[in-house]
Amino acid sequence: MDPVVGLEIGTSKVVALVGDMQDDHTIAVLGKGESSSAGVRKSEIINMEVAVPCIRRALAEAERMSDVAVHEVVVALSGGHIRGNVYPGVTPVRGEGKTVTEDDVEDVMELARTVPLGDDRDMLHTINQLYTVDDNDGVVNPVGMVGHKLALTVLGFHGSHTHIGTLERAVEKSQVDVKDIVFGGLASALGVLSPEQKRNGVVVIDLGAGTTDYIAYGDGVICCGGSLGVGGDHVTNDIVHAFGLPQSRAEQVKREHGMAQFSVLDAAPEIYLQPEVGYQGGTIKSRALHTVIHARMEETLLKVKRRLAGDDVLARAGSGVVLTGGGAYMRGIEELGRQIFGVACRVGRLGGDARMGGSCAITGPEYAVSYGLVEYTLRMQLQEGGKDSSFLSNVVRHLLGR
Amino acid sequence: MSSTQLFRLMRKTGAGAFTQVCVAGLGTAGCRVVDRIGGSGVHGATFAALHTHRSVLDRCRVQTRIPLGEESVSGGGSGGSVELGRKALEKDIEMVRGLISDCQALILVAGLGGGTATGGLPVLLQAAKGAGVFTAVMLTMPFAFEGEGRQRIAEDGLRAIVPLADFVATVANDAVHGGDDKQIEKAMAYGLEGLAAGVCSLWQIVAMPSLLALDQGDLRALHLLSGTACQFAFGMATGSSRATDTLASLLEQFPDVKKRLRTGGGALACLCASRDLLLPEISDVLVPLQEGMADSGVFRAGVVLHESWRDRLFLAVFTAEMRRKVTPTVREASGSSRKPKAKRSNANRVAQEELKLEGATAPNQGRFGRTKATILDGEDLDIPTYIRRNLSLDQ
Repeated sequence: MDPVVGLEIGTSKVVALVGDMQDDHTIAVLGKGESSSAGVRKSEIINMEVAVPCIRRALAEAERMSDVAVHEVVVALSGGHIRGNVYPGVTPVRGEGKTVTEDDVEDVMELARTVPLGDDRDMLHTINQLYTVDDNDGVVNPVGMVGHKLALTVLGFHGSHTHIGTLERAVEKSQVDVKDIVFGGLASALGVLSPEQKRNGVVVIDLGAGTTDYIAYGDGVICCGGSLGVGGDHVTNDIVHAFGLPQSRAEQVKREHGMAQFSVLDAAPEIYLQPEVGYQGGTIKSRALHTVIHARMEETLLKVKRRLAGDDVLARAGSGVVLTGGGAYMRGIEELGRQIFGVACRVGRLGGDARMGGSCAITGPEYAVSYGLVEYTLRMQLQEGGKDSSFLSNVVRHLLGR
Repeated sequence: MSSTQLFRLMRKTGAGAFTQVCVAGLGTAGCRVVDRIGGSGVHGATFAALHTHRSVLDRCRVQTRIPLGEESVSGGGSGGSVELGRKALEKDIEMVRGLISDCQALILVAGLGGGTATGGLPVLLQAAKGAGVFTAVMLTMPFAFEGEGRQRIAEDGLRAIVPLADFVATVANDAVHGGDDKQIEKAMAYGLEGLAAGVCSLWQIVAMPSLLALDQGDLRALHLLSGTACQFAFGMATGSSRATDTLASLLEQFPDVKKRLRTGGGALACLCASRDLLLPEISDVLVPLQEGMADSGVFRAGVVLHESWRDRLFLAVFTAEMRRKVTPTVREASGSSRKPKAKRSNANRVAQEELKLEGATAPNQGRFGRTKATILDGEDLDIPTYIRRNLSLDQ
């Protein structure tokens, strides 16, 4: 199987990851390219001219490290324009003796996925949830069951045609083709979750710089997901506004001193800031800093919780909440997550589904999306190539419905 | 069913008091009014401004500012095109849904005759209706000097709006800016003050427990009774004779009110004041109005107390004609001893001078200032959280 490339054009950085599937079906990361991002706000490209060179730099570095020529990439898409909606499909059972056949399943999938979207929206994924045969709901595979009516719900993720088109154009201007576009929240979940976590029910929250993506598994299927146009950049902006710091210095203060939960024991009373060009230096009180950061982090997680509550997801999240993205480095974030969601909360580790190998070591939660893109693509190739009929392949087919 | 029965029914079936209200201005006139309210530091509702014109929005001192149709009109306004206004709203309807996702009532204010509000309001109201949000709309109609074309656009727009809202009130620009002072800036300021106060009275009717019961059920009933837009009139004054001056200023500025009361439709009067309001003052204002009402008419009155009114009395009167044609019962207003003074004091001028709303600094959205705002649950998340929550920083 040929190596694949996952590309995440984030608000703070662009990451390109080259990966390959080994004989034992584990994923080897062969190379990584990373560059600071420009022209991107809230995960949406707002200035193509400055964004494209950043993408090129990341791809060139990934090529150098992996020694793989990159011609096409799988790109992550995030942004507040992304919506996840559940769409139902119902069909009468036509099989002999009212036994559900593969044809009935194909019919109902076709019906459920026929979603009328406006011209300004593009469907990214339609993910099968569970089937219902007459009154029996929660059916994973209805073939062979007897009934009059077969129903299926699919979870559709769709986004703005304009933003998706702009993303494609930016990648193409970087002289590579777009093989596929994947919702960043979905990629992040695939990058960190184990099959057991998915079966138990789990929520993955990717705390990016520009957006906060979330996706939830319940009853073994993806039950909801979405993206909020608020992220770590907002924390930085709040610090800039509160203390009159330059943007870069506020970012540094956030990374070095930021805490989602304030603890007098853990923090010095004051933070001394060295002078620099355009900034005369000074001190800020830790408590004030953490009031600003805590307010924003708490609000962001509460917004996610509000969107999960409607689907009764947390009650089914036996494996708790998993945090990814650069925001997962924030001290105290797990504790804050526990308080808000009322379930176990931890920072995700890469390669939940498979042992990682290869020459490039990546472990941090900030690579969850790019690693998830690689994993997604390789598993899809494996499935489409028909080389594998393993449980994992079936899981991918079942979960993604494609 | 008689109109009185209808009122009773609506009051029985009306939902409980609202807690979450969004007060939104659409288009230039709407933005000016919410800027006046939101910029004065009043709290208790989400204040939002929506416009296709970026520079008008930038001047607005409310926390939630939603630029519309950035892709189609590039922040330059709709140029009076109703079609562009409609498309801009349709394009950005998700932001609007985010704005109203957390509220139970939406008070909208706009001026008809232009593009953004006339074209966009039906789209916005449809979204609110879909979300099950109660909607009350305050609209200004064009000045006579703006020409028949603009008037026709406004009337066409109104016909599209009325069936979609729970309550609609209109007022002609010529009447609303008809205070004592004819000097253009002062007249405009007075009109703006009246509109802002009228919108506040609507907000307080639906959001706050009033001293004399008046709620959204009454607004909805008046709307159903007339089947079209109600007419808004107001009066305000301060000082020792503020009660009679308030009523006098209303009747002088809106002489039609007397006639409309006599023709036996419905009227809803809301007296707004701070907690120092006296019982005789309520009588001085409301009794003459009630006495002026035809026997067949329905009169509802309420008193809203809120400290933000300070020493000002503000009277908002919404009058409606009967949906079905009825023979008007004409009778002269009774010669009550509480009849308002024929000669009007300088109430308007005093009110205007003393009640200038203080400016608030525009919220700093920093690096997000030029990007599409993140509006969720009625809040602009680009504004620092600690500011929206009024957290004090121990610096």
